[in-house]
Amino acid sequence: MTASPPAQVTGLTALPPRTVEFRGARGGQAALTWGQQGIWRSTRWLDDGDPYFNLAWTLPVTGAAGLDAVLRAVGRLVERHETLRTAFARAGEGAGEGDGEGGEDGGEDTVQRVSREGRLTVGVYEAAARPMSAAKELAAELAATGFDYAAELPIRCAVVCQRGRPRVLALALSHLALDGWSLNMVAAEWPRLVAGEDLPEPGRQPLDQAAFERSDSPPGGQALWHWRTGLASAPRSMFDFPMREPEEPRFVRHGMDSPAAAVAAEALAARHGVTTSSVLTVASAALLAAVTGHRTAALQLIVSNRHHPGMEAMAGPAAQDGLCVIELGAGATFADALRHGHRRTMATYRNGHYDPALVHAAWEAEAWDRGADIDLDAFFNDVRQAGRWQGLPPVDPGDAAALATLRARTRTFFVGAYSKVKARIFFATGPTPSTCEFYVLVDTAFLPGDVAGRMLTGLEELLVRAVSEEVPLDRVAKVAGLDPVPRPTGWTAIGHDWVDLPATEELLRRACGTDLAAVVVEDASDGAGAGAGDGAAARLTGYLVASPGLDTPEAVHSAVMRAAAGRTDVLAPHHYVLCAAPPAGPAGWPACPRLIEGGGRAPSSAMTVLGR
Amino acid sequence: MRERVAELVSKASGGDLAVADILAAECSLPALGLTSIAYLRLIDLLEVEFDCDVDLDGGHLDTLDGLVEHIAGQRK
Repeated sequence: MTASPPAQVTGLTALPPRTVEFRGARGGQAALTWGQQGIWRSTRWLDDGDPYFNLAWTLPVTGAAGLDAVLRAVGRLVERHETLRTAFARAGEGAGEGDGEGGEDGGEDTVQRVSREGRLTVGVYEAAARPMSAAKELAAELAATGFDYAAELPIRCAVVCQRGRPRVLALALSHLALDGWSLNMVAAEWPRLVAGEDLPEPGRQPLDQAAFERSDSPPGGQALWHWRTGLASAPRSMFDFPMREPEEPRFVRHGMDSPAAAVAAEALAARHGVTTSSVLTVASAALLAAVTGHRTAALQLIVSNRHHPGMEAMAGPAAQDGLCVIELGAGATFADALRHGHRRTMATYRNGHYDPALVHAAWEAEAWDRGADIDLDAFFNDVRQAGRWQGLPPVDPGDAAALATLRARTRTFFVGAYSKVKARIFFATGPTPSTCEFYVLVDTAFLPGDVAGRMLTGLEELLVRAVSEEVPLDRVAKVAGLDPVPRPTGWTAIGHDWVDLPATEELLRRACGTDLAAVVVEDASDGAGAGAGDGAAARLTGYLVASPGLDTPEAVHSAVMRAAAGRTDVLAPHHYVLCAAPPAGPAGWPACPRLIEGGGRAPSSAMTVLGR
Repeated sequence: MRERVAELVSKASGGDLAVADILAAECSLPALGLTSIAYLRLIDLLEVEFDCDVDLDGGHLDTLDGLVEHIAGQRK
């Protein structure tokens, strides 16, 4: 494999680059680990060459190490962590031949290929002043170009010197190679490697992890069960309301630096016996539910998976998405939600290691049964080291005046706008230990961009308010200063889901190519239809005149599901009634003579054949 | 069993929390300083040690005594 030459950056004097030769203990090839599959799928969703998942990073060089010592340390780093000499290519293709095409590639046909040896070109620069600032700029420049995952090392680096002495290593890394946990591992090893220490070899590498995940007794059985129950209880989308004209670029991210929110979250965590991570997760869920009109919130949490034995010592992506469904029932308070939500978040973090293919199958099966794509594009990621803050301001959260004074230090800011992100909303902490650094990204095709900023100030207000008073969940939107999305006439709640009934009827007609069809909300006293929650006793019944090829509930359901793909406003009828002829008037469908009826979900479902 | 569970809490914390402090604590384990990741390690350790299934929705699992009570109930 080769590496791209270091970038040219103004403000730095480029010296001749150096070449680091490395030779690790082994090379090899294996299927992707489950963690690699997660990142791989995300990268495939973007255009080739998109640098969104690149990590710009710097490592200071302390002591009096010379350039050769720093280069040796870089070599040792690449040698000891196989992930830093791993390419990703389609099975059967050589390095450089796999272009990674195929937007639907979930990683099943892709392999990780570890090179035992190779060369890495390392840029060398002289900084006149402020080498760390210059190195950060250089790292950003190195990370501005997407990696060629099949042919390029997933690491680019350059040494920034001052008066000839190395001061900083500037890096660009592929997220396919390292996650946040791995970065911390490398940061801890780096000064020891520069000092020439001989570190013990890592206990596990991604090749080992892949073998473990494909063993005869693979992990993940309990996690699959967690996903199945979560899928069944989650709203089919948190974004089941009318779309809007998106802004340009479509995805907008805002940030906040609020020591007051951190102090308040610490106080709430201590009071209710939960973690600050759970406080932030539940607050995010409550804000999202309040804006979108839900009493159940579903978030995907980014799970580090480092509590599993062996995985804590592996450099490489181990994180996967975990499904967290939180009940935010009527009459409950935010404090109630914290206690319940903490258990749900812990269960989610515990069940984040699974075979993505099996979860995908469960996801598809639930969608088929529910009658809509299950859209879980709402995320939460806590990137703080060990999931907590340190060194917060010594403010008594019970002192309202002191907390108010602290709030004067809150700063909100615009982060950026992006044309393509696989999320409708993304809540995330930042790594800063001494303040609540928090981010919200929204998809402006659903929510105005300024909602991202208002959610940040709303989060702070909710947390601070909850320290001094009980906040009923029904008042979260008002407390946070957020406006619930409006739904026009014709939208109704069916179980956890909001449904545009006229659009659903139109969908049934279009899918079946007939105007002789109607969708009616009926009582589901036989237990069929929506699950627990609002409108639990209601179900949608689709009436239509049977036609060739569309003469069974199964055929009709297939046609409706195809037509509904990707939509968050419609829901396939729970029950289909096929008639021989239309009624005299629109209200007459239920009384029409029936040819056949059923849910259409499976051939063995409670389908009743009448008169055939 | 209480002492053994406290030992496992300490082990899960990587030794950051001392057994004596855990036994004497009158606050929840998160308030004592047990991180989320250490808590998850603890649940795994408890299930192996006591051959039980810890249901995270079982409630009151944020204190030493709550955990002991839960495990005792599981083993009946």
